[in-house]
Formats: sequence, structure tokens, C-alpha cells
Amino acid sequence: MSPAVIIFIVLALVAVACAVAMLVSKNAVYSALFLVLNFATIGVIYLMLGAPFIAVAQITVYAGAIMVLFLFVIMLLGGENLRLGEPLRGQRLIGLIFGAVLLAEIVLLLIFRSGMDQMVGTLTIDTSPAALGLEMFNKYSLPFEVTSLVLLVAVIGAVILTRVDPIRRPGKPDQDRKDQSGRQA
Amino acid sequence: MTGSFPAAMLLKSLPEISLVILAGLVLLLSLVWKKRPPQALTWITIAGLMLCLLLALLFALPVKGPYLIWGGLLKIDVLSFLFRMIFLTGAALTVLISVERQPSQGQGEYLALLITSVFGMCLMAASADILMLYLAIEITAMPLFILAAFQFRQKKSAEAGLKYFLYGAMTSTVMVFGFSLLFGISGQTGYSAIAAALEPDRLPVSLTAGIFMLVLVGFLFKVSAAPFHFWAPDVYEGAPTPIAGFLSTASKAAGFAALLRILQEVFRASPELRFGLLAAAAVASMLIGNFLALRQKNLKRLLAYSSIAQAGYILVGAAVGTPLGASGAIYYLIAYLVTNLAAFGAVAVVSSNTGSDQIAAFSGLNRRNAALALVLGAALLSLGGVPVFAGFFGKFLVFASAVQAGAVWLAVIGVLNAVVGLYYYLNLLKVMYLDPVPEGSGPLTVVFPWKAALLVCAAGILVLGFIYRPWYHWADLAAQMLLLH
Amino acid sequence: MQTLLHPLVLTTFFPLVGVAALLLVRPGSARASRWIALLTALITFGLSLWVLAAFQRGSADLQMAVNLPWLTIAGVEIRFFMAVDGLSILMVLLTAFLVPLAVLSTWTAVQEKVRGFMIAFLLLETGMLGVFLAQDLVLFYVFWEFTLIPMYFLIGIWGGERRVYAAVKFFLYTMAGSVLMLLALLFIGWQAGTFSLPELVAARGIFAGAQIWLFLAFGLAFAIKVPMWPLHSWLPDAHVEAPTAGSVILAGVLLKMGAYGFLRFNLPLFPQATKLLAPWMAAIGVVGILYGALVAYRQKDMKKLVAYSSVSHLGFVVLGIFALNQESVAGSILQMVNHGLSTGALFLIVGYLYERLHTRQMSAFGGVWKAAPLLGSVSLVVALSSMGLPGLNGFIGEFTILAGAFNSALPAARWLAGAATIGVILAAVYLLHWFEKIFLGPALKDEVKDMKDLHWREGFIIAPMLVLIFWIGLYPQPFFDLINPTVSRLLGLLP
Repeated sequence: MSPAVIIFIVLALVAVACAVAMLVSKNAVYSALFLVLNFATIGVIYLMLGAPFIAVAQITVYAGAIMVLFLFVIMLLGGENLRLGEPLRGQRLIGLIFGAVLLAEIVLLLIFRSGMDQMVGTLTIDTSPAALGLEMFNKYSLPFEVTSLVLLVAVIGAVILTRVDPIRRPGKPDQDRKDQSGRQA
Repeated sequence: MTGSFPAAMLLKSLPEISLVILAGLVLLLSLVWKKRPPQALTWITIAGLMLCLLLALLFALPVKGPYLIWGGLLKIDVLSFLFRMIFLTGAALTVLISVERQPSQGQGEYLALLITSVFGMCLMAASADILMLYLAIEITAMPLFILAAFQFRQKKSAEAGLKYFLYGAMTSTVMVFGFSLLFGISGQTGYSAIAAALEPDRLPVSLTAGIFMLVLVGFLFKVSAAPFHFWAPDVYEGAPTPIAGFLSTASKAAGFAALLRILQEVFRASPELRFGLLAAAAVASMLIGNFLALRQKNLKRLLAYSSIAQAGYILVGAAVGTPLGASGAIYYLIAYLVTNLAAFGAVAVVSSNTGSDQIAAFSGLNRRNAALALVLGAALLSLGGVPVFAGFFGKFLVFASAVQAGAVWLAVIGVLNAVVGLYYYLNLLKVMYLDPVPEGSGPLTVVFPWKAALLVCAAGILVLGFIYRPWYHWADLAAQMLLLH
Repeated sequence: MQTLLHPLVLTTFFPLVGVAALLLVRPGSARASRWIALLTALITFGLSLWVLAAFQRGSADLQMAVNLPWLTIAGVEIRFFMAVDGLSILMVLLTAFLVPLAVLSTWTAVQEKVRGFMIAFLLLETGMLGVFLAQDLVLFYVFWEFTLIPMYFLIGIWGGERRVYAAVKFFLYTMAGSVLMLLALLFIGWQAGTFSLPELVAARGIFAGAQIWLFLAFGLAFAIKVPMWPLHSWLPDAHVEAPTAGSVILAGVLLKMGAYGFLRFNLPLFPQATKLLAPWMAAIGVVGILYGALVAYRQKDMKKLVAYSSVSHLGFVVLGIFALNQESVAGSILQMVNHGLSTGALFLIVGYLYERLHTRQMSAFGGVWKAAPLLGSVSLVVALSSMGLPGLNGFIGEFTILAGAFNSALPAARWLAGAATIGVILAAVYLLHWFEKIFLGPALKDEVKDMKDLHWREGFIIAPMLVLIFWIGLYPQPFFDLINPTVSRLLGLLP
């Protein structure tokens, strides 16, 4: 067994264990932290697959930005003390069934992979960050700029949807009375 | 590919660039120019949109052969040109309908978001690359999520925005998965390269079918077709009425533009697959939309279900895959733009005056404002497909294409559904013209922008109902050019 | 510009000039609306007489054709193609003749929203004229569907108590039939590469394989319109609830569109299917005759009685068409005109009675003759005409149809003709029953005793119809001269 396979098995076990632990854990913060670990191991697997940029992106964006945001929200909402309850019954059962079906599908695909070899595209893409950067700023410059616009829109949306109506300055006549939270009377 | 941005390419993109500038300008003005007259931003936006239209006519006219810009990401042809006109007109009409009698906060953001969404739609119609398409969809949808939730103080609006966002995010995720598979098998993101990889016998049919289904999910969501239509009634009901109108017309048109292009340019090697899946979606949409509309008491929900059914009719044209089918779908979308915006405009007027958009609020509308009842009546008859209103010729073309392609059964289902649809449209006509006026309701105030919008829409409904040739000519050109990859 | 001055175009679209004039009138001015509408209708009638004057009798060809390119879809042309021949000339004249009379009948009957009423009426006239003159299938379909809208509003807004139900039923029933016709016409258009009727007839071999389906698809739309039993249930409701003028036009013209459609499309385009299905169609026609007559006899509401009598009379027309010989077909076309006159007049009379007593129940009347003898004698003439008394128009039509059916090649022709003749007797039964209940006997009720006799305006409207009733009954040859050449050519197209 080559070192690569051994490392892969270890990482895979860690990833699966973290995923299960995330699902099973009763504490939301612990769940989030397990997910962070899961993401980190996946990042390393990406590295092993020869995609350094994706690996780093995974760790900085997923495990870093997104999960930190998760943790913030959980702590703001007091999620560590949430009761376990199910508004819709039977969700777990359905979830388990679907998971089993998915697993069966994957296994079947692995066993019966007829014709799949010809589908593997002979990709000669250079996946180094330098190459990616060149592509992004040359061929895909327009989508890149559009992405920045998407972010701007998201910011505007966040600002609008959470705005509080301004408090009127004293001396100005009140046309509609609004209380502090900005709801119209 | 290094190099500068050639001037010709920038000129061809001038309308889109000016849209972005307009959005920024409106946003800036709303922050800086505090003491402006109440409708100033509205009219500036409309002027800007018309200017973009003019720029498109001057600089971005389509040329004969396929013409790709931005490194093969966008294609300038009659389809993108025509749909750009549709989006700009639709946005202008929506802006007119959005005028409120008392200006509210956030008007600048509202308009800026609307303009950004139009920008995204123009990109969607012109995309020749799956990555560009995905981003175009995002930039179209994101402002619409926010706009749907714009009156978030009301529960229904917040619910609308949330549902639209969740549904949209989910379906676009599935679609991106499909795109990633497309990239995987071809190693490229451009349509023509992917089409080469999808040539028959290079891949097992099940795989192509699977990828097609995944990609279709996103499109069916965007055009509110079954089985991804569940968001439409709640979102249309909760969103501000002009936005609901915009969603049902321009957003749907954008979805169809991208769908038509991707069908012809990427999946052209699998006509039976295209037909089978799209025909199934069409039949489901028509049946679900029409039969569920029968029970609705809220006009916006009814229009939502009607919108689902209309998407079904247009899908018939898309499913057939012939130039006639595509031109029929395009003509239908043009007619649908003015028709549905007239309907939603009328709803906006009544709900702004009475505070309700239940059907009962339209009782006796003819006695309260005969012109408004006439416009809404014309819109309803157009939706029903009665000559000489715009919707008739759209349905005619779509069903004609089905018959021409030999799918007569599909046309039969379509026409029978059209009759069912007429039932609830006629019912609305009856409510407007024959039911008594509700207690204590006075005359309706219709401010000038609403009048302008409804007038333009009514004129459009009639003109497109009599005079077919110019619009059909353009639609046909667009469809023909789709076939010359 | 030249096209606009073409007689057929002018006749068809002149009512729109009236509509434009009405749009300029203030909504409240009923007088102006009535006069503008009447004037427009009279001018249109004059234009139709111009068409008649220019019409060449003895020719079976399409005359005064206007054939302009309109649109080309996927290589197939849709043309603006209108023309007149022996089949349509009488229909055009009938339409243009009845519309001014119907407008006159609304002088006191319609008081609300007169402008809207007149606009709807004139739009309807354009639609009807277009249906009869169109020679391009798509153009025909557009006009056909278009007539539904003004009729829907006429019934729905100015009608009786259950007007909404009747209007919606009318619209949906008719539309459901026509949409299948749309698909059928699209099918033959694509197959043959054209939508123009003469070219389609020449190319009918191309779609001959599917002609039974096509015959049925077209036939369904026309059968609903005629209306043929058992698709007739929309008619009594529509007639009863429609305002008088609406009923006159509905019975007088709109129903004829169905029979016209059979003659114009089904027979020439689908000859073998026609031959095959003719016995069935004729049989259904006879069932309609008998059913309509029997149910009419049982009615207590006058308008419903007349409505069912329409079903019965048009059963004769259907029998005449599908007996497929010169006499019966010519007779059926004439009978279409006759029915328009007789039943139109009957509806007018029912309308007059309603205006006096505000009820349509026959039991409320009795002995009207004593108070209004002029009204009574006019009604007697009209009833006799509807029954087919020799000397009046109905006889000519019914006799030629029955004679033609008797001699026709249909299986069981004699039985069918015999059964239809029983229908004539039944017509006499219910019409005389109606007449007796309304006009004869002692005048017991006060309202009846105080009833006013025929007003000069009412008489003025009925008089032209009476003139024609006698003219056709005594000297029908000029009318047959218009019809016969086209009919013989039409029948020549059948195997």
C-alpha cells in the first residue's frame, strides 16, 4: 500500500467520522466545529488530487469564512442550547432512506462503470493558481466583473432588508408615528 | 488570450454597459439628491432605459452570421437583440407601474436593483458559455429575490422573497451540477465545444438524458413550469405587484431565451430527448396551471397559475424544436409581455386604491373606471387566446408548430387547455362588468405613470393582435439564426 | 387604398367606421349612438346591395375576389383572401339586411349603455360578414372566433336574469368546438402548403388519408354552431337570455355560420368522408327536427319555444345539406335565409310581447288578438311562414329539401324524408299552439286588454321581413338563380 492510499484512508475516515459526529451531536457549536474539520480534510484530499487552488479555496472560503459565519449566527441565536425537535415527523427516517438510496447508487455506479472510461475528458488544464488567474482575467473577465456586481447587489439587499427607519429629528412634525423598531403604527 | 478590448466589442456591449452605469447613477442620485421631486428617479430610469434601447439600435444591431464577443462568452444575434428590446420595454413598463402615490423609502435601491436585473437578463439572452450563463442567471435572480421581499414589513412579502430565494438557490445548484458535468465531458465551457462533445454515440443516452434533466431543472424554475412551479403562486402573491408582473414577463422571457439557445446550440443532437422532456413539462404546466387557477380567489395567485399555464404553452413551442416552434415561442413572449404587464398594472391600480388584490375587489370595476376595466378585459382575452388580441397569434404559432412537427396530440391538449383557461378569464370579465360595486368604494385614482403604462400595454395588445408581420419577421429571424451556430 | 374601396372589403369593414364614430360620442348619449349605428348598418346594407348588383348570376366562380399576401409562416402563405359566390351572397345579404332591423328593434328595448351595445353590435356585423366572405382558412378562423366576443358581451351585459351563465356557456361551448377546427386547418395547411381554400380543394388528395378525422374536427365546430342535436344545449339558454336584437342576430345569422361551414369546407375538402358520413349526419338532422319540435311544444316560455323551433328548423337544413343532391342543397341554402327571416321575425314578435307585459310566459297572455289585431295578423303570417305554409317562404325551402332528400342516394332516404315530414306537422302543432295560447281565446287579463297594438316603428321593422317572406314564397326563382350554379359545382366535387 502506497503512502498516498494510507493517507487517503486516514483522511476519509476522519471526514466521515466528522460528518457523522456533526449529524449526531446535540450541541450546535460542536456540530459546526466538526463540519470545519470535515471541510479541512476534504481540502487536503483536493490537494492530493492535484488541485491546489481548490484546496486552498476550500479551506479559506468554506472552513474559514462560511463556517465562521455559521458559528457567529449560532452563538448570536443561542443555538448551543436548542432543543432537538422535529416540526415535521419522520424527517430522520426519510433522510436515512434517501441516504441509503444515494449510497446504493454510488456503489452501483462504482461496480458497473461500463462506458464511463470513455467519458473521462482528456483534460489538459493547468490547475495552478497562476493558470487559473490568467483564465479568470482573460477569458472569463466578464463573468468575473459580473460576480463583483452580484456581490454589490447582495450588499445592497442586506442593507435594505435589515434597515431600520430613521428616527425623526426633534422639531420636525411627525407624519406617521413610528416606534423605535421602525414598524409603522 | 491576451489582448485589449477591441472597440467593436465594446460598442456591441454598449447597452449592457450603460445599464450598469444607469444603475449606479440611480443609486447615487437617490443618496445624494435628497430634495428631488417625487417621481424624478422614475423618469430618469425610464429615460435611461430608453437610451439603452436607442444605443442598442444604433450600435448593437445583429449581423448576419454568428458573432461572438468577450472571448466567445456572448453571442450577438437577432435573439439577443430582440430579447434585449423585450427586457428594456418590460423594465420601463414595470418602473411606470411601480410609481406609488406616496413615495417610499428605498426607491433608489429598488430601481437600481431592477436595472441590474435587466442587465443580467440581457446577458442571459446572449450567453454562449455555461459559466457566463450561470453568472447571468445569478445577477438576474439576486436582485429579484430582494425585490420580491421589498415590502418585508408585510409577512407575505418576506415569505415571497424567502421562498423565491430558497427555490432559486436550490434549482440553480442542481443546474450548476449539470453544468459541471457538461464541463467534465467536454473540458470547455463554450456551447459549441460542449455540443461537439455531446454528439450522438459518443456518450450513453442515459448520461445525456441525466445531464439534460439536471440543466432543465434550473430553466423550468425560471420560467415557472411544472414540476418546478410551486414557488410561483406564493411569490406572485406576496411580492409587490409590479415585481410580480416583471417576474412573470421579463424574467420568464429571459429564461426562455437562454433555454432556446441552449437547446439549439448545446443539445441539438438529441431532438427526441428534448421533445420528450419538454413536452411532458408543457403538459404538466398547462394542466396544473389551468386547473388550479379555477379555484383561486386572489387575483395575483390566479395570474400566477395562469402564468404557469402560459409557460406550458410556450414550452410546446420550445419542445418542438423547429424554427416555427421557436419563433412561435418568441412571438408569444412578446405578446405575453404587454398582456401580463397590463394585467398586473391593473391589479396594482386597484390594490393601491382599495388595499386588496382579491378578486372581489374588482367587482364592478367597469362602473368605477371603464377604461381600466377595458384594459384588463383586453389583457384577459389576450391571455385566453381570442382573436384579435395579441395572445391569439402566439398560441396560433405555437400550436401550428406542434401540428407541423407531427405532434398533434400535444396541440390537442394545448387547445383544450386554452378553453379551460378561458373559463376563469371569462369569470373575471363577468366580475368586472356585471358584479355590483362593493360598498363604500369611490372612484379610482390613476396617476399618470400608471395611465401611460396601461395605455402602452393596451396598444401593444391590440397592435400585436392585428399586425403580425413585423414582429413575426423578427421572431422568425431570431429562430432561424439559432440554427446557424 | 384601392383595396379599401373594394366592394367586399368595404362591406365587411364599414361597420368599423361606425364603431370609430361611436367611440367619439359621449358615453351617455343614447340617441346619437342609436342613429349612428342605424346609419352605419343601413349604409352597409346598401353596400351589400352594390355587391349583389355586381354579382353575376349563372356563374359558379368566386367573384370579386381580393387576394393579398398577409403573412408567410414557415414557407406557407396566409393570405387576406375574400370572395363571394352563390353560397355566400345570400348570407351576406341576410346579414346586412337583418342588422339594421335589429338595431331598430333596440330603440326602446335597450336603455342602458346604448353606446356599448351598438359598438358590440357593429363589431359583430363585421365579424359575421368576414366569416361568410373569407376564402383563406386562417382568415376565416379569425373572423369566426372574433364573433364570439361581441356576442358574449351582448348576452352577458344586456341580457336577462341568467345572462352570465348563458353567455359563458355560449362562449366556451363554441370555442371548444372551434379549437379542434383550428388544429385541423393547421394540419391541412401544412400538408398542402397553402391556406387558401381553392388551392386546398385542388390539393385535397394530399390529406385525403386523414379526412374522416378532419371532417369530424371541422364538423364538431359547425355542429355546435348550427346547433345539431345533441350539441344544442347552449342555444336555448343563449336565446332566452339574450336581448331581442341579440336573439334576432343569433338566430338569423350566427347559427347559419355552422351550416355555411359544412357547405364551404366539409363538402369540398373531404369528399369521401362526406359521402361516408352523410347518412349519419342526415339522420342526426332528422333527430334534431323531431326532438326540437317535440321539446318546443312543451315549453312555457315563448323564447325557449322559438329557440327549440330553431333547432328543429335547422335540422331540415342539415338534412338538406347531407342529402347531397342539387335540390336539397339549394333548398337548404334558401331555407337558411328563410329561417333567418321567419325566426328572426318570431323573435321580434316575442320581443314586442315582452315589452308590453314584461313576461315571456305564455300563460300570462291569451286573447291578444282582441286588443292588438294588427300584431296578431302579423304574428299569424310569421307563424305560418315558419310552419311552411305554401305561398310563404318556408314552404319553398322545406319542400325542396324534402323532395331532394326523398330522391337522394342516402340509405333509408325515404324513411328519413318521411320522418322529416312528420317534423313539418309537428311544427304546425307547436306554432299553432303558441299562436292560440297568445292570441286567441278571451282576453281575461287586464294587462292584455290594455295592450297597445303594433306601433308604427315595430311594424316598420317587420314589414321588410314580411315582404321577403311573401316574395320568396311566391317567386323564389331569382334566389335559386343565385344559388344553383355554385351548388352544382360544389356537388360536382363529390365522388
